[in-house]
Amino acid sequence: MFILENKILVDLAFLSLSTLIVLFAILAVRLKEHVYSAISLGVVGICVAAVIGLIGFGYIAAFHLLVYVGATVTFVVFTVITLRPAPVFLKGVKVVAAVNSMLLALIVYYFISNLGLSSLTIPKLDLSEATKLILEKYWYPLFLVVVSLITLMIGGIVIARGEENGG
Amino acid sequence: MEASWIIALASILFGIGAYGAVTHRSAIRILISLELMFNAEILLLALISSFVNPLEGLISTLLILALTGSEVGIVISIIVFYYRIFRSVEVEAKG
Repeated sequence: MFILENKILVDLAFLSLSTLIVLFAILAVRLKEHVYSAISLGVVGICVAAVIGLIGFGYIAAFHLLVYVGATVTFVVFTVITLRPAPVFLKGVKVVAAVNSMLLALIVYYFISNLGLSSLTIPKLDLSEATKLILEKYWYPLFLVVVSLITLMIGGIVIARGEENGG
Repeated sequence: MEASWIIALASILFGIGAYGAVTHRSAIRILISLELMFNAEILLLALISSFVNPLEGLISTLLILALTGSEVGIVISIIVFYYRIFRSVEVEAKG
């Protein structure tokens, strides 16, 4: 891809995406309306997918967009629209929470930085090899994912039946 | 693009998510904040796996994303039931 070969363009794209991610993450936390908050989460998801694409994982980026933003965030948005809950904030803990969150962010940065990761190289990925690996080595996690998706489907049916019965 | 930039971005995102998770009482807002933390975690997982084992990192990330999709669905189902019973999504002790 042209953009991944041009270092300045990659840096520029990363800086713009980072700004958008931080901005919309703050909006997702601070906005009073739940709907706008959920939409901001969707924008964060889209930008994170773009950054994952810049790292070189195009498949993960596409999957993130389709499954996470396309399904999960949309599900949250529709639920919020249906329920229309009133915004409730905890009082008196904001300063302590902000200090603790900054400390947490610093701790995460410190520990991951000490893993010795240097400048990025774009990995070469073979999808057919990945498929083979999933079916041979990771069949049990795949089975668990399938079971959890079936559970979700049953949950959806139970909710719909509850609505029908007026309960 | 340096790895430290992405680590810094993910750390900030994680911190913002943690702030949201502890300052709200609405279950939906807590879920949204936890999803922000999840986004940071996926970003770090993709970054670290590109250095360690990209192929296995790709597979585990895809599985985790699928699992998160179902997890959010189930949590939302619980919130809907909670709302039907208590007419609120506020998280507190209900007698």
